[in-house]
Amino acid sequence: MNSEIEIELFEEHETVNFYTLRFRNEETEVDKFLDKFPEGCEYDEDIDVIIKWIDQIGERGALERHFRPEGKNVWAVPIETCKLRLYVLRLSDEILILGNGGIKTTRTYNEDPDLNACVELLQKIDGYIKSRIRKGTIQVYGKQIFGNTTFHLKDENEKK
Amino acid sequence: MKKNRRLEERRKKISKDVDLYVKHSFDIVDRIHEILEAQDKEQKDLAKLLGKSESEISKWMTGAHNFTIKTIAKIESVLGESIIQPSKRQKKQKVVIFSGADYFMKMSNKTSYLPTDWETTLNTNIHEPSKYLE
Repeated sequence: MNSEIEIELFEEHETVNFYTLRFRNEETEVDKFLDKFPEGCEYDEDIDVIIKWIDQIGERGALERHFRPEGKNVWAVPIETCKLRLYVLRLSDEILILGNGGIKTTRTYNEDPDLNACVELLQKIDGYIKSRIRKGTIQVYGKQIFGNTTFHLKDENEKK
Repeated sequence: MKKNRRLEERRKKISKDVDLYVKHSFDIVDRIHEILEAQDKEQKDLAKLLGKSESEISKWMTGAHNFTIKTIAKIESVLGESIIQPSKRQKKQKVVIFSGADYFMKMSNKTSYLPTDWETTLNTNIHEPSKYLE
């Protein structure tokens, strides 16, 4: 199992930096999300709304009220017109970590194994980041994350 | 500032109306939030005033809600403030359109042969060009 995962800068905006996650030798989690909805698919406009929502957040700040809560510490980009979900971690008003997502066809994300995996991954990473912030091996300053941002999921589990 | 190439490619193809829809939605929720803050109120107070659940108001305040004019009017009504500022009506200005005007050069009669000014007449108001040439 590929267990090495790294936080990677995805996009920089005026007020917010967007990060994503990348398993070793794999696409980023955002790319995996976009692969599910190629151009010309029925969700084209919803993907456009997500991109424009990212732009607005990037300009105005990642304020809590702009997100839809989805499980402990994980948020979803709020799309009302369909069941499309892109999950994110919100470290502060200036830092977001974009994950993967998909179409929510079940009542809760937990009932869908794929969506549950997306949310659980972000929850794990959230726990690891907070633990390293406490230890001082990760620092969050303004829009930036400094320090050791590579995680070995197994090892981290063992350390817990 | 770093931008993702894949997203940038898609950005180029996003229609202006989607761009404006999201921007306007954010503008509206930011304005509502501004009013709530000024009135020392929270989203739950707005929910109460509108007879809605807090979760519904939270959904509205995300920045991707498609507000109807009716909903905006209700919010304006309970908060006593306007959310949308319509552009002020411009005072009607009189515009005179000259069509088919004739331009004549008025010649100086004594000191110079150069024109001293221009005079314009409308075709409907017929002048004898000869009077300018004295």
